[in-house]
Amino acid sequence: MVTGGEVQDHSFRAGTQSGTEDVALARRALAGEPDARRELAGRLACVVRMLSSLNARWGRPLSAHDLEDVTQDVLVALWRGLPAFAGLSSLESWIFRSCHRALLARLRSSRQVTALSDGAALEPPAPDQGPTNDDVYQALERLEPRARCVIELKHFEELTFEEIGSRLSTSPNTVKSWYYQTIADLRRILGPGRRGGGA
Amino acid sequence: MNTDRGDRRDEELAEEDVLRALERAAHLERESVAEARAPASPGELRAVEGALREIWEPAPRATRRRVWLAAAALVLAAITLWRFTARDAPELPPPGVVLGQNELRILAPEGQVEAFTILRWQTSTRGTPRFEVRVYDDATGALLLRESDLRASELSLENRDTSAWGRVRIEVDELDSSGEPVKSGGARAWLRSP
Repeated sequence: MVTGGEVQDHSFRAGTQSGTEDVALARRALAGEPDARRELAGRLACVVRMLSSLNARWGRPLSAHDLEDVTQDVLVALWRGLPAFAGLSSLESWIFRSCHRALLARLRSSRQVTALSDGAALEPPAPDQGPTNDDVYQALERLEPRARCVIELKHFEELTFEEIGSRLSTSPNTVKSWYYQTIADLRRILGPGRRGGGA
Repeated sequence: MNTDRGDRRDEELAEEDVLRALERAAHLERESVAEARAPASPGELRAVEGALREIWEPAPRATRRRVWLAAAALVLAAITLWRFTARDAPELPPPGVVLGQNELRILAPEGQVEAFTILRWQTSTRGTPRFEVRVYDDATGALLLRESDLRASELSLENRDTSAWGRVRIEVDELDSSGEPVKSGGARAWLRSP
């Protein structure tokens, strides 16, 4: 029990509507329901497509054989990580970010990128030399749940402030305030010193 | 927190660059997710089933019985060995470390856990202090994760690879405005053995 001071409330979990349904599917699949596992298998099949697409975007650094290996590893890791899926985004978004991270990890281990500085991103640099997609995902994970949710609803699901307010049961002006406060935080997190650490 | 969007410090990215980076990541993700929503091909389904078959399909009953008996025998042997060899071993500190009145406490994970899903801590400090989180392998001391300049009192492990995490030591520092630790908390946690 903490004496004195205010306990910080970080129980905000609006999530996305599809994310909530996906969490239910995940729980049923984990419980062993055959129908849920069949449906989940159909959804996980997108891993093959996503890894192939990312590999193609990055100039096909991995062979077909290596890509099969990564696919296998990602599928097993996704199943094992399924208890941690919280529905903050849709299942496909969660899968895509796992594929993105796994492909980068595989490139790192196979030394596909040369002349790395400590903590440098491994995916091809952004056209304007700004933060890479991996930088963005890592930055989002450092935000408070509410802040992350607002950014994802605005940019990844392309909702308006009014729609976000309706989803989060608050006013559009409040959402705007949260949004711009978070953008200010991201300006600092994604600033020039962003490659400072993290394992 | 900087609320003046026109003000830019050297260590901050311009707002338009943040928005551009967000849109770039979001665009790629939306494209990929849209492609993913097409029905799975037979080949893609086979890849999934092949990868997960051994996890989903249970072993035959006789094999399961042998596995359980072997596991029970191992547990019994381990307990016997521990009782005869661990008497002089240093006691492990209890999970969670309380630092007194002005404390920072790790809420999760703590002790035995089913999975590493989230890091959560609690501080007596009002407002929105900043934190640095470090996770070490308790046996080797290897650094498994470090995140600094966190505003929240929790860090989701949802998209992180924690497959190598077995027994870990978690340390959280609360930082002052210059980034120096003013308060620390620690805990140990370990994955429940199957």
